[in-house]
Amino acid sequence: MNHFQQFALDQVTQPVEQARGLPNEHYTDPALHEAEKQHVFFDNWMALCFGKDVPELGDAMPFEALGQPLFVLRGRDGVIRVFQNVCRHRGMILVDRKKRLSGVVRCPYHSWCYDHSGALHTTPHVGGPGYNTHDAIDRSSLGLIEIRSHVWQDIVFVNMSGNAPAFADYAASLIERWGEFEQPIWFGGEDSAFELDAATNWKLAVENYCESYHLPWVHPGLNSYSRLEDHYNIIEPGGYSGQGTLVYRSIISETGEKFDDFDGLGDKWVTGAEYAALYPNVLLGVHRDQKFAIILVPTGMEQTLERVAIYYASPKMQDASMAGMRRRNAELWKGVFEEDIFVVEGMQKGRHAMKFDGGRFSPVMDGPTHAFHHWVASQFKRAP
Amino acid sequence: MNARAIQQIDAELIAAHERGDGPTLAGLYEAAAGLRDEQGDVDAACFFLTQAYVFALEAGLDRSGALRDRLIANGREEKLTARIVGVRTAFLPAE
Ligand code: FES
Ligand SMILES: [Fe+2]
Repeated sequence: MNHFQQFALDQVTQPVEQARGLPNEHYTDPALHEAEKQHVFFDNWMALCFGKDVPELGDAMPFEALGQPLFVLRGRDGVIRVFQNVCRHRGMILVDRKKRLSGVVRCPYHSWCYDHSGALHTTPHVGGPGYNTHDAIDRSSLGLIEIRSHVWQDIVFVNMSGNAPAFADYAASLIERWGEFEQPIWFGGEDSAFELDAATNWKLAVENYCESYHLPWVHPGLNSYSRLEDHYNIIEPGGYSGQGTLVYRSIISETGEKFDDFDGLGDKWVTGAEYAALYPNVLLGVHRDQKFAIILVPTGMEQTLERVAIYYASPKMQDASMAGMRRRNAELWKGVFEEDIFVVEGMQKGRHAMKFDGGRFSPVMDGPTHAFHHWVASQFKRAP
Repeated sequence: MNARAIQQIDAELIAAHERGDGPTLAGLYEAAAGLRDEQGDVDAACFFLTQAYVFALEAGLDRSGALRDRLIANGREEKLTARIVGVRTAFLPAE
């Protein structure tokens, strides 16, 4: 980090009234993208995928985490684990597509086999044809490399460096804020998941999600019942930020049907709902009758896949009889998130303007966005 | 007789490999091992036993426990020491 870059970061961490946003290079410079992988993603808890991606025992699925090949496995012991997707022999990729394993993880190259805890189970012909052991090959030291992971609310988080505080501490303030929602959730199924691909840096998706300032302009339809003045900022320095609404209304079908509510929620949630980005890359929404999560997958510096999944409060909401309601709900959210695409893509284009200086923040409306910038800048500043 | 049986197994093996049919592969390799055993060719038998064992493991077949035991008896495989996760408990070493 040179002096100029250091100076720019110092400007980001000023109070919101004086601060500038992150400079263009954080959205366009491959060198900074590389540094960001380490400081922002690998040193923290990043969202990798959903538990529902591997719903059954033995389900394995490969994921790339900013270029790092990983796979997730719901072991036959019921535990979700994340492994580096690489054989300890000659480094072959182990899981090339989503599959259900009946037995071990077999490397497709020379068939070294690993059990569901990653332990090396056998090494066929390693001592010559028909000889499966060799003194030089100590199986106990050649298990799969497991990546530190934690599942919260069906989101699989990973800490690649292994150095972050325990997830429960890392996300403590948000877990506490939404403590009433710490209860089982039920994935709505195929009709309750969708993906959006946007030509933007992942950070712009976070920034846009955090604030309600744009609602009347970008989501005029939403604004008719969710007015700007019915929103408030959520800012937890160093952890998460977003917005809340005072006027959430649950969906009611023509026949008066509603989704079940979560158990025992306080009065705040009768018409309240909250939306927060848990840094770095997961966007969450909680409502009396549903939750959703958007995992931002940075597929390139200027490309982001948004993976959306909607969860409900009771297993009954998974029934076929609720499919119409679920579909309508998913369509509604999809419509809203699609309305945001042109701004996150437009801002990305804007980051190529030589004389853009990071921009300014509304001290009143942009606090949550600035909080995110502040966090990102701090990750760079604390890096050695 | 034996040579013809080996040819037959070879043909079926190729077809099973093409289908990616692990349980069948395990059975065929085990049969091939049996034929080599009859010929007194321990090395060849253990090669095929290993193949059978790996495909049985991958398919999660209970049979893999017995196959591993045969390999261990021939000094070709080690006893399992750690608790094995994700495969049948039949593989756990006898206490
Ligand atoms: S690379 Fe995996 S067994 Fe050789
Ligand atoms: Fe929006």
